[in-house]
Amino acid sequence: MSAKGHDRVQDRLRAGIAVPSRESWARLNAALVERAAEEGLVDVAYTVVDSPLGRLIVAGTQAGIVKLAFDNESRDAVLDQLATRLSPRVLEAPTRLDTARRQLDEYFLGERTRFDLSVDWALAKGFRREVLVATAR
Amino acid sequence: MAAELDAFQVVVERYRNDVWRLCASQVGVERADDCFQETMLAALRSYPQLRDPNAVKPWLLRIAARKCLDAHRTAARDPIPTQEIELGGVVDESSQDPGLLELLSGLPEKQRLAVSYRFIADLAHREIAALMEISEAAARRNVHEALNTLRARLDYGPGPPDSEAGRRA
Repeated sequence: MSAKGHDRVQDRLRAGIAVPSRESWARLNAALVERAAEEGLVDVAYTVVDSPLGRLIVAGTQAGIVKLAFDNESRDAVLDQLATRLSPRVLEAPTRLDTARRQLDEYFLGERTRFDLSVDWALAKGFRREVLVATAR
Repeated sequence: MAAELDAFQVVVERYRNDVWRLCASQVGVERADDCFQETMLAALRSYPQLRDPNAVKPWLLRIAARKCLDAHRTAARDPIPTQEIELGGVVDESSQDPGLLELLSGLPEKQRLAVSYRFIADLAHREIAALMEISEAAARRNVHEALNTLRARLDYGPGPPDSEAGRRA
């Protein structure tokens, strides 16, 4: 007995519902992040920034900027590190990092020489941490 | 020590198609955004406590089904939408299959969920049974009956004999 009728229905189910476009996903993501932020659920926010040095990933917690990654580190590797060492509640949240983005833009345009940002030292350990603290002064 | 969880952003990107389409199959395209948001927010709330990182997909889909059920209850109480979907124009309407969506909405809830879990979310009968908290035989039956109804209404000709559902159980 042919199951062609069922196969056609199955095909139609598989193919019949289209997903949102890329732009729509971006809007949905932004709306999700906004609601999540209202509930204090965004433990780690990150954004991707273009710069003369290549693609940068900037991540921050409530305490401040926690990570600045250059394009030698893949996005997934960076997110993995953030999830493992800080919290799995990591979301792409450009609005949360507006100040850092702006200051980085100004820095690369030569309009800024010093950053005025809070820093979360959680990922900086040992010797590297001492160097970072010393050079931050 | 708990096994490692991926960054939630990665989880959203990996499963958003499955979750959104499951929502659309249960509550229609216009309400899918809302259900999707509620699902992901609920998931985000309890994500750090997730015990089995390898079972993220069924976990998400279970939450989605619950949110879809909530949406149905709300709609039943209040059939006129109280809020415009601000996200607007999310999907190109011409790329949807409105005939299919309408037929899905006419199915009994368990059949609609089972058949969507099977062919939209691509779950095995065993997984569907676990999510719906029914036996695997019941899961197969729900899928099979849904297919029969859809086939008949889409006029695609006869399907396999009904006894096949019993034999497979």
